[in-house]
Formats: sequence, structure tokens, C-alpha cells
Amino acid sequence: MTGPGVGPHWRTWIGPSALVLAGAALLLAVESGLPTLPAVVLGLAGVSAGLALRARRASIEHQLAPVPVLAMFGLLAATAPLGPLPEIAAGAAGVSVLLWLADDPARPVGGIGRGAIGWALPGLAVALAWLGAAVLPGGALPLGTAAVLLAGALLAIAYFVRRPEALAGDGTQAI
Amino acid sequence: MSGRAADEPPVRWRALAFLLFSSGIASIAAGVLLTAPALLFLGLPLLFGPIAATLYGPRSVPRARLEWRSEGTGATVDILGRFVPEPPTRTADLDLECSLPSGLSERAPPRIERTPEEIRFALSGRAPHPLVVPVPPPRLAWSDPAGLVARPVHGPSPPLVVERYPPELWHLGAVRLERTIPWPGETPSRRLGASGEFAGIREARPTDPARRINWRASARAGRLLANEYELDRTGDVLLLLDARPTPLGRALDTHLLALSVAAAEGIAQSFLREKARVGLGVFGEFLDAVPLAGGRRQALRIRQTLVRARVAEVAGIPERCAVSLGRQFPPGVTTVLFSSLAVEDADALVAHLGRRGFPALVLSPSPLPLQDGTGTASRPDAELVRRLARLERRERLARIWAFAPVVDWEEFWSLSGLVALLRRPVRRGRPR
Repeated sequence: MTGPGVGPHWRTWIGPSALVLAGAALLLAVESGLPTLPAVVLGLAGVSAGLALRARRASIEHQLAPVPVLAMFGLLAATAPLGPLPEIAAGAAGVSVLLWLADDPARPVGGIGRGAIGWALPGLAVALAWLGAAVLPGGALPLGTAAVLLAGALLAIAYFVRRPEALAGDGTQAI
Repeated sequence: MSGRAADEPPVRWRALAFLLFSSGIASIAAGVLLTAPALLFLGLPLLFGPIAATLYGPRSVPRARLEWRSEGTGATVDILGRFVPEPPTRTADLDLECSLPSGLSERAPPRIERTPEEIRFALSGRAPHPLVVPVPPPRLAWSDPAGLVARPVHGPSPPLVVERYPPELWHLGAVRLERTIPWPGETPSRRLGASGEFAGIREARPTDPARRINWRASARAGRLLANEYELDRTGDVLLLLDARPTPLGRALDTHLLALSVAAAEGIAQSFLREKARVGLGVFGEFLDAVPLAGGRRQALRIRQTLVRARVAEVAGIPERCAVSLGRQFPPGVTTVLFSSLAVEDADALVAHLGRRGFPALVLSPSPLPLQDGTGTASRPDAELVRRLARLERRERLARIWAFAPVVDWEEFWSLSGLVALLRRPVRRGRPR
């Protein structure tokens, strides 16, 4: 059991971030390569499934809530054509997932304002990457730099996943 | 709360973080393979989200103090407590996970209340049978708002044990036990209590029985006063638990041993309150003994040994138990044996105990109320199976009666049979 019981009231499972998530899904659906109506239906279905799973009391179902949302976004992004608008829509979709996760009304420690760093920093990274892709001239050198940066980021993430204590503030020992 | 795991990392990824990591990596890999840049942009925040989440939180290990207690009477168990975090940790940043210990069923959903100073929690459970069970401390962790990262909160967490046993055991300590102390005469203790020689008068407490109230003094003083007595040691009692495996199976053996543990704890506490010396033996493959002693430390020693008691993998031979007891305890001590008597050589154990100077009184928790061995049998057949099982148990107990008095414990919330037997020294197997 974690925290207080999740009641059936809609306020306990739909926060303001659910609207942002639905908006991001609609935007990506419109920008994707799929026909508009099926894409919109797919987007809304993914968001609804995520919200429904988050409304369940069982802890495991609650934890699986992001899966349909991520799968829906992945499918829409995979069919999106080349261009700055689909790219920024996909980036916004990723950030909206983080925003939605931070705003879980069933968790007392959640909240959009309190979780600002968790979605604002990745949002900034997306914005920088999008600006780089849209403004900078193309060519072999920027592509190579981007590939090296990406590989470095993946290595750093792999290291931190193995050693999470490296991210702790100090090396104090447990009692 | 973790005063318990010294090697616990200060930061722990949660399952959600791994989901985001794997989704981000899969998205970027698919973007490269399909040459779909939108997938790269989708994967980027998913990868960076968990890393950004670690930037939250206190720079040092968060700490909090736990205060908790167990309340309730009879079968109801309420566990109430509160966490008080040390600054700069705030209660709004802490995730609390608490659950009832095994053996207790949930009576109502847990309640958690937060104030800026503390987190209060209340667990409501029901004990279906008598039990003694340690309660695991609730897990308190600092968590980021998205639930991606957790930092376990450290601090002192006093142990809490829930114990429920039949109420008759509360006053069992008044029973006169066999003395095995070699000194002649009375052995007065330094404690005042409910029996012995008159020692003085004090303010009455709500738990004092009416016969202990000094009515004349109360009338003169205008308030209730109670008599105080100087206790003398009433004697010694040895509690012996049979923790050998039986043909009933491990699950049922564990259940029956848990009942024995609860009864032994109740008896031990009752006699220790009356300054008697209490010893404990748990016989599985070998004997695990707590020698005779009194006082609070002995109560703690006995409780710890009882909580640790488990059904052994291999059954020890009965004579080994009797011989080992002879090395640890003086012969002639009042002995209570807790055994389901489902082992074939149960009568041999009782006989060996008697021969070595430990005439025992046997308290046998019955497996029949816990068993449903009828399977898919029809109703008349099931009834027949139950009757046969009852007959077999009656025959088994009758065999044991040849060596020692036996209390068949079927109604688990009552031990009036045992109390009645202990009050009559001749029937409990006192040597004449």
C-alpha cells in the first residue's frame, strides 16, 4: 500500500496535466503520417488507457499506466514525416509524459510545480536539440558531433543506472 | 525507514525510471534505424527525465524518527505511529509504504495523515488466531514528484512486536509452581506485587481487582487505595516447544507452531510478572534453550527466541531433547510441553521427559480446526473424514495421557483447560 486510498472520484486520477498530455497526443496525431481521424482516435485511446490504468487501486497497474501512452506516442512518432513541426511535436509529447507522471493526484509527493526540474530540464534539452536541427546548416560535421554526443549521453546514462549513488549529494553511509 | 540495511544505496531507481530509460533507448534506436527524427526527439526527454529527477532532494541522507505502538484488545490489532522528519527534509517529499505483518488480516485500509511536522499512520488488522509477530518498520523514502527516484530515509526505528494470546493467561502467574531453588524457606524478591506478605498501601490503579482494594483505608482517605504485597518467588516453569516437522506438512506445522509460540509467550509473561523464573526450550533437530531466569531481560530473551522459532527441517530424536534439558534445567521444574502431537513418537518424547525428571503437562494445539482435508469429497464423505480424523486424534491423545496430562487446544482464543489443570498440582503431574 502506498499513500492514501485512491477513490473513484475523477479528481483523484485526472489532474491538469492530463489535458496537456491529451493536447500533445492530438498535436502529434495531426503531424503524424497517419490519416488524421485514425491518428486522433489512436492518440485519445492511448491517453484514455493510461488514465484508466492510473485510476486503478492496484499498485502494479498504477505503475504500468505510462506503457499505453508511450506505445501510442512511439507509433505516431514512427510514422511522422521529416520536418521541424513533427519533431517539436514529438519532443513536446515526451516532455508531456514527464509532466503527467509528476502530476499524479494519488501521490501526495506529486505536483507540476514541485516537479518543475524533472520536466523543464528535458524540455530545455529538446528545445536546444530542435533549434540545432532547425537552424544550424546540415552537413557531416554537425551530424558526427551529434552522434558522439548521443553516444556519450547513452554511456553516462548506463553508468548512472549501474551506480545511482554517484548522483547522491554526498557519500554518507547508511546507519 | 532503514536503520536496517547498511549496504542500502542512498539513491534507488524505481521501476518507472527503468521503463522510461528503456522506452527512450528503444525510441532513439528505432529513430536511427527508421531514419525518423521525430522518434529521436521523443526519446530525448524520456532519457533525460530520470537523470533530472536525481537533481532533486536533499544533498545529505534524509533522516526521520519513528515512534509507534500497538493497540487493541482480543483479535483486533491497531498499529499507530508517526514519522518526524529532521530538517531540511519535509513531510511533503516523503513516500510512506506500510503493510501489516503476515498473520494479520486487514480490517480497514491504512490511514496516512500528513502535517508539516509529521506523518501519522494507522494500520487496522485482525488476528484470526493467537500470535506473536514482529511488525516490519514502514518504508519511508524521499521521492521525486514523478516517482522515478527514491532515497531511503534513515533513522532509529524501535522494534514492535504484536502479541495476542488467550486472556485467561493474564492471571496465570498466581499458580503455585514447583520450587527448584535449593535454598530453604521463602525467597523474597525485591519487587512489590500482587501476592506474598503485606508491604504497604498505594493509590489504586484501574487494573487492580476489587479484592486488592483496601476499603477501610479508601473510606478514610476518600479515594481508592490498594494493598501492596512483597512478592516471593513462586517457583520455576519450563516451556518446551516441539518444533519438529510432522506428517501434517510444513504449512500446517508452521501454523501450529505459531499458536504454540503465542501461548508460550502469554504464559511466560504472566509468570515473569509474578517474579517466577521462566525457562524456554525449542526442540527441532536440537534443543535451543533459554535458561531459567526472571526479570525484564528474560522476558525479552524469551520473546526473541520465540519470534525466531521455526519448524525444523529434520526431526530430532526424543531422547536427545530429554538429555539436553537435563543439562540446562534442574529436574523437577514445572514443565509445559507445546506439541501438536502429530509426530509418531510424540509419546516417546513425553515418556523420556518424565524419566529424566521433567514430568510435563502437554498443551496440544489441534490441527483439526485448521484442516480441510476433505478435498473434492461429497458432503457425507467429508463428514466421515472429519469424524475419522477426530477419532484418530482422540486415540492419540489417550495414548499420551498414559504419560502426562494433555490439554486438547481446539478453541484457540481460550486456554481455560490449561489454567484449570495448572491450578491442580496433582493433575499436572507433580511428583509425589
